[in-house]
Amino acid sequence: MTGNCLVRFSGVSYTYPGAAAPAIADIDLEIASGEWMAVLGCNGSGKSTLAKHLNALLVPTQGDCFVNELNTRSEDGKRSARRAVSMVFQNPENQIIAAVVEEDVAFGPENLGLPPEEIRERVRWALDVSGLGEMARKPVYALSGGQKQRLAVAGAIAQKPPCLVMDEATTMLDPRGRQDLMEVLSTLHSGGMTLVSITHRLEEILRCDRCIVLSKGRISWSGTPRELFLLGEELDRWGLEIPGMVKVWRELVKKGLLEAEIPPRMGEMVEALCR
Amino acid sequence: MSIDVKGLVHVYHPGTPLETKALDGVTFRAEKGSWLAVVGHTGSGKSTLAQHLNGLLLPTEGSVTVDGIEVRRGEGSLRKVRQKVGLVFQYPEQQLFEETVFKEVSFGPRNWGVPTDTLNERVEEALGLVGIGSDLFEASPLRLSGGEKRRVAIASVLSSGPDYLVLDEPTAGLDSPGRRQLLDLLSNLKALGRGIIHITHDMELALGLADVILVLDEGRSALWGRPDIILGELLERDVRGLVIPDMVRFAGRLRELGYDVPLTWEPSVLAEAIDRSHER
Repeated sequence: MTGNCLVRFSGVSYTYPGAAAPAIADIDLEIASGEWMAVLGCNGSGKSTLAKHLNALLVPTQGDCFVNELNTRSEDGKRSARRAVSMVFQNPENQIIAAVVEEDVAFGPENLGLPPEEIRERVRWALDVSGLGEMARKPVYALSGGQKQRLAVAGAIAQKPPCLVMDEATTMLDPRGRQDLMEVLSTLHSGGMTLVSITHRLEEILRCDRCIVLSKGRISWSGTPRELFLLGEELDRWGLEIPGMVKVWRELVKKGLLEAEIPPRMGEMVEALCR
Repeated sequence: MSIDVKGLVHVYHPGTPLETKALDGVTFRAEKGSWLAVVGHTGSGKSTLAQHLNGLLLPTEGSVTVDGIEVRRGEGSLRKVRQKVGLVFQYPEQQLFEETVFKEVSFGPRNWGVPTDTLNERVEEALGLVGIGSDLFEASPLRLSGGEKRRVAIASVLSSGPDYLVLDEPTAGLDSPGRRQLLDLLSNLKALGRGIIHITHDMELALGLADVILVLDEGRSALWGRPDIILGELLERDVRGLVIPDMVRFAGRLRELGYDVPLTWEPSVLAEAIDRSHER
């Protein structure tokens, strides 16, 4: 269910002040509206630097980045990018600003100038889908690391942005929390939201439409998750490890016990393997 | 030699409307030269427990004893315990602050009053253990890669010479090579006789590496035992927040279908077993 181009990178490079080499270089990339894209690569490959261009936290030192066809160098372009794209970062401590859970989630919708009733509704919805429904009145400092990460997600989705960027946002979640969040993301995606997942955890990309691999700041590969899982030693070179179940799947394909098509969910994979 | 936790209760903000019981009667033992994994859902009390093991928090009820020294105020107990138990927080690289890697790793032992002549030796040894070469000693720790920063942060705890290392989600945010290096390092430290207390969400890691697993649920010890025993229990009953690794679940289903396969989290072992069983 993809549509018009939401984000377009044209020859984008970014060099941090004082750095000898660019963190990302010569990036040409289009993200369509409604697409779910994964950005993969090892630590230091440039994933987060690329992500920060999506909502104009960074502006290219070379080339141009367009969001809704507006160049993020212009003031209009910056404003448009920040409205269109919400980000959730890896460390929730850096993105929580209010003292009470529900106030933190309300911050974004309040800034959008929504009517109070709509804000209340969105806060309730965002907390419920993030699994924090019971904690609305809790002080933020009483939350655990994983709960803070859920709060950061709730704060971002409460704004119902056209595009949500998750930068390693599942790192501190427990497995069930991670599964819950993947379900939430799937629902948002079905509703037309554009999603960009930045992760090392390849089990999280099975539902993505497309993934790109960054290596030393450049796009080394682009394709579907299933195509990625069929690659060989390149994965090691990029510092990527395929999920255990996919490894089993691959081994069984090699032995001629299964066909090469990999199902999109771990649960379905278990079912298919059992058949 | 062990850390012994008995009936540990921790209540945050007692007597206020914010009163929360984070730990409720937790009992277990962590031994030197052994790897204990503490797993549990978000908010199950894992990080609170970690802070009890070197006296950053003190028990509301119950006791924590490190090699026979009880964690409490007075008689220099906390100082002794903190020398024995090193704590590596979540995202420890955010606490790096010195100008060079060497100074960063010297900070702890210098504060413990280690004399200068042995200080350098200690720092070099700690950096050697985590695989940071001398070419990086004078580099700014803030300029290193994510995996290197994490290893420098661990070296700065190791340089104080702890017998036990408590690590809160040490692999969070690391890519696969960084993760593998870090886990090899911890296995190595265990082989050298250190006690490893590894707090994690990752059941596969815990099952694959730990000698003993403690499962926390809502601040209580839900399970404590060898990985194979914990796995059996987890297949029997649901523990909040924990998900049985897909591969183990899959192996369990195959066994129900009559396949002769082990409950394993090793992909190649499972694939081989399926193939053999299939042929039969």
